[in-house]
Amino acid sequence: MFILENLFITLLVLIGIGITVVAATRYLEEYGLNKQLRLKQRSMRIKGEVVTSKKSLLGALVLAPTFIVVLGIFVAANIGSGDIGQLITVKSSDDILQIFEKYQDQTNTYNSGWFRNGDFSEALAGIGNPEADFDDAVDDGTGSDDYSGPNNQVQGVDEMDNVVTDGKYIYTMHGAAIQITLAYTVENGIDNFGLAHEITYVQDFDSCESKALYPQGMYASSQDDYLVVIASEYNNYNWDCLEDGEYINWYDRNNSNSVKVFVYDKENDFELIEEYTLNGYFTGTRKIGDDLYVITNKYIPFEQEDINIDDYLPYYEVNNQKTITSYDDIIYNEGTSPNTFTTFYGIDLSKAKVDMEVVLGDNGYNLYVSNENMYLVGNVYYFFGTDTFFTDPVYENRTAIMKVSIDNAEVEFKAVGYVEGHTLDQFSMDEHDGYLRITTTTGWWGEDINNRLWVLDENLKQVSVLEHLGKPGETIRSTRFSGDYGYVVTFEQTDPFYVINLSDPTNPVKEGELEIPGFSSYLQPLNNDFMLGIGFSADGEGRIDGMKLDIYDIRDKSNPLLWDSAEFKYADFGWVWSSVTYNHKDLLIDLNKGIIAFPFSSNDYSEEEGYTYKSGIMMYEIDLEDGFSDDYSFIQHEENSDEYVYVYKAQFIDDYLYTISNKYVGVSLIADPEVIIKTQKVLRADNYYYWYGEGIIWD
Amino acid sequence: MFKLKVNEEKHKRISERLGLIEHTKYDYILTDDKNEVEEDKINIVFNEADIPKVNNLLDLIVKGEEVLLTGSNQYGQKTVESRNFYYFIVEGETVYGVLHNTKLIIRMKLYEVEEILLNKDYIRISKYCLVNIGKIDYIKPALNSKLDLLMKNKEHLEVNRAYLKEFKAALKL
Repeated sequence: MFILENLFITLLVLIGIGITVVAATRYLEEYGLNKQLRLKQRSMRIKGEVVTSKKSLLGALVLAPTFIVVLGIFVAANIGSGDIGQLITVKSSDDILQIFEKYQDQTNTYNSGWFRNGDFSEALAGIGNPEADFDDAVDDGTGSDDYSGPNNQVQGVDEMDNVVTDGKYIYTMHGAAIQITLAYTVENGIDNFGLAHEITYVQDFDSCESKALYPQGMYASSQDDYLVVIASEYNNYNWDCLEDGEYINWYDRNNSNSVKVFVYDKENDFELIEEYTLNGYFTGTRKIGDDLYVITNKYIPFEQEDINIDDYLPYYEVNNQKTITSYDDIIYNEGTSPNTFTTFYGIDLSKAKVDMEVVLGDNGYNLYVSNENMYLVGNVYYFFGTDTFFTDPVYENRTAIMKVSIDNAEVEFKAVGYVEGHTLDQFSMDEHDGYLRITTTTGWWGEDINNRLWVLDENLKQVSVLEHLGKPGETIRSTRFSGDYGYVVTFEQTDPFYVINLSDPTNPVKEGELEIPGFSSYLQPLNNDFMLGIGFSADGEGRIDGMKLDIYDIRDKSNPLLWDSAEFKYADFGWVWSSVTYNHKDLLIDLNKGIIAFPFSSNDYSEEEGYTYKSGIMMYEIDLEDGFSDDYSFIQHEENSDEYVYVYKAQFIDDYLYTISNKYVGVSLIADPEVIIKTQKVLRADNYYYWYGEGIIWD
Repeated sequence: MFKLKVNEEKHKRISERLGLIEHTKYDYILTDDKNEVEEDKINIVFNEADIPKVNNLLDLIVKGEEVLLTGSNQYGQKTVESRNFYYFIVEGETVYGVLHNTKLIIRMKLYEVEEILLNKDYIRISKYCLVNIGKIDYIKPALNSKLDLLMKNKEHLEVNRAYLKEFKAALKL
């Protein structure tokens, strides 16, 4: 009856629906085409592709009703006063949806997270139940207290690693297995050296859908009666179960991805005592005493229809007891892209107690942890939210620093700060007397580059900044802070090593500099007087021609000197390479023992021998009177092997040096390192990259 | 096309660093699993630190040998790598290769240019125009079932209805 009586209105409504449907179809087509274009261009390997979103009238037509509704909701909920950097406590899932929609409208960008992990990626299939294999090789003896710990950035703040020792056992990771080798006891020395135990995480590659565990690293110490294994757990789909051309959206898998923390009892045959599940992707971890800190991030797929935020709330489980975060506990920093939950977990391992803090925003990539605070930095598209729909939004790429205080495994969000430019690594940051010092680089080439050192106060507000470090065109290659001083290396053709006096936080001063060819990609203070630099040597024109280790004499801060160095020229060794140039955990240095050791590989060609590949641990004696010894030792596990034997780590216990490769754990005397006394075979497959391509010649 | 077979944590990082886009119909596999070795393939082992080198190699595989085209404008003759052209267009009897802010007269027929650039991700959008897919900034469907292309040099081109199907197919991986 209504329809007959109101024919005109009905007609209008029908026309309206028709227009909306057509407009929506067009908009979807437009979105689809441009998504395809980006993927195509990425597959063409066009560098620097940025997803841009253009305004579309059709899009506006489709979004206009939503926009108006959302606008209404904003006014009602009083969210979004336009303040920049204001911290908002979320109260419900609607708040999060509103935050997202507001961000999307104000920046006029469609959330681009969909390409982050590769829509078309395949996951390995597997299942992830920890399973312990027991072995008879037991030695009741005690371990030594004289052993190499992890090469930590901050004293007292442990960093996990793929090889750790506690003075008795050496723990190594091989794919989905942890191998435990009895290395040394005070009573029997290395007499009982050999396999003690293995922990494996079973993977089922046949199921269409299953879970798989991948160990990321371990913590062990003579102070702890437990071993901690940090692993990532993924939801896996078997590629073979898919139809041709079908793919799995990564966010379908993303939701149940977690970080697992397994705690094993060292005194009781490595029995599993505690199992923690921390929801999200692994971002970083540290351990201070019994307090373990883990950070995860979790993408929120707003692009999914009918998204229910409840399903994406971060949670943790302690021995299968689940605790989900409540909306009240989520903090949003206005102005940042609300696409990810970043969760800071604090775990008291002695009490099996977990604390969590959840931040809504972009995720971070570099983690620095002092004894008091965690700092996580990441890129954010930060917008100044004063735009209307019809004007271009103002937003820029900045580095956001999230500060979370840590105290006895309690975590508390403190502040967020912003600096321009990107940070290089965890060593770009340092906390000293409550101030955070941080180095960044803006720009990629030429005159646009600006290297800065910022000093921020405890609320992460800028106190001072030192700009234009380095010559034009140079970028920061390494940073290290030590007490009142900062040391920065920049490079394009030569290596200026800058000493920056930070004793007055309001006025950082470049106090000294040294210019030498090449550059250090890693700096480590040996004491207050000497600084070790590891990196690359270069000829006069800046062409890299080898690897080098330098010791800088920094006694006179205004006049740093190159005190000693060891060089490995490509001309002498062929191609040389060491992971220590980018991974500080692969460096073993102990001034009491007087040794420095690191993995070292070379590839050479001669007409007589053809191609020769060598991998081993390069070891020098070192002291602060004579510097590096003239001769070095090179510890290989197999010489002239047909197989790929890659020696990647060195550790010591007492007088013994332990070297680890993808095939063996070997032990030798520090005094005579090249003679391996005993070896234990690695039971599981190695972890290196194999690449297959038809007709490709590698030279 | 490629496929990456490493654990998910590495997957993100490596695929980003190698700039990989993956596909179900792959020719190459990158993996950290020794068991993936296939008998009829050449196997290459590389360390993670060599990723930049491998990246260049992947560029070479995907982009192939660069094709150079010679053209001239008022300043004389120039030889340009094909990937730098935005599009080629016939105006009157002359074929122009359009660069960022200049255009060169190319002494070839458009179909000859098309033949030379066969594997270079160029696509015909009308009888008179051949477009570099890499230089398209944005695609907008027009109301007359044509597509409006905004090029990265801010110029607009139109995909003719007759070439629509082919164009859409060319965007597919």
